[in-house]
Amino acid sequence: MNAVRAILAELLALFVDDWSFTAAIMAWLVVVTLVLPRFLPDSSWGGPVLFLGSALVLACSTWRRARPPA
Amino acid sequence: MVDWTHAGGTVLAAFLASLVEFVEALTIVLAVGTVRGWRPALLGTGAGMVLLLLLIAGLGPLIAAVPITWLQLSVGVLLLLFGLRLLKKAILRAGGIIPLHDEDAAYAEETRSLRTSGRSRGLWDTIAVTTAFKAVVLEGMEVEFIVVAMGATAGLLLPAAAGAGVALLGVVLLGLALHRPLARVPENTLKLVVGVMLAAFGVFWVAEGAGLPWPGGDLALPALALGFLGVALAMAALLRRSATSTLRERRA
Repeated sequence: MNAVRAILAELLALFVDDWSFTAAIMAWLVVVTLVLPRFLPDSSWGGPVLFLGSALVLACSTWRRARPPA
Repeated sequence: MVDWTHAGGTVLAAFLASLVEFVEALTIVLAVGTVRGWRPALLGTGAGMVLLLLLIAGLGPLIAAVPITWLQLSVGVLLLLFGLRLLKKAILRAGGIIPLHDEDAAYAEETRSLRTSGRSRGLWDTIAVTTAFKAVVLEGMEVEFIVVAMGATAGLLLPAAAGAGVALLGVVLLGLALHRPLARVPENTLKLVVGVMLAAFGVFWVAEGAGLPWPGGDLALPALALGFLGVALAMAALLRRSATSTLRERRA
């Protein structure tokens, strides 16, 4: 039973090990796929905007982890 | 006709990601075999592989029934979460914030833990079988996810499985020949490359699934990989420089 629990926990940890990082990525995905198309008439920018936001979330979260607030 | 922009990247990503996971599983199975005997090590490995095959048999038809846009969107989100998590860890390792993964150290720790844990009574060495089983299932599930995610969305399941199969064969043959952990495999660099590729595929599939077209079509995929690689290398350099200047300030 413990082995099954450990496997399920590890399975979740594949995708989530820092909840704020995961939440930021998911929030950005919601903004780009659901909110942005209503305000951006040219949808060909959607993909690049999705990339830029994801890269920014990655950079900010990595910096925050490397330099925790004093 | 195979689209090689996707197929090449898919096979390479499946191969590299599987290589890293199989090397990690081999380290633990070797530790179990060396310390507790090869019978429980192989028993746990075999049981783990049977469970993985059952998972493939069970999930395969389910995935085939999912509409392609939903598959692209859901797989894209999971690939992006998985890829960015890998990439963040790889940047922190490259920037000197967290220690590099060392297969020799992992092997030493596993053998020490197996030596100190008591032997089970009876026919089964439960601890040894469970340790090998868990290692194979955990690392194998990561491989299965990557193969299915990379293959199913683009109809490239066989090329992706072939990439993972070649990695498995290589690691098993090297393990049989060397009988020690594959510490010379540049795991930290590979993890950074795998993170870059999975994040690029993730962003690509999320946009495709959401109906957002890419400028340049499929050529956006290598551009995305280059973009994530650039961000990762720049962040690693920034972290190294920041750590050096902090050290200098403390010394002054």
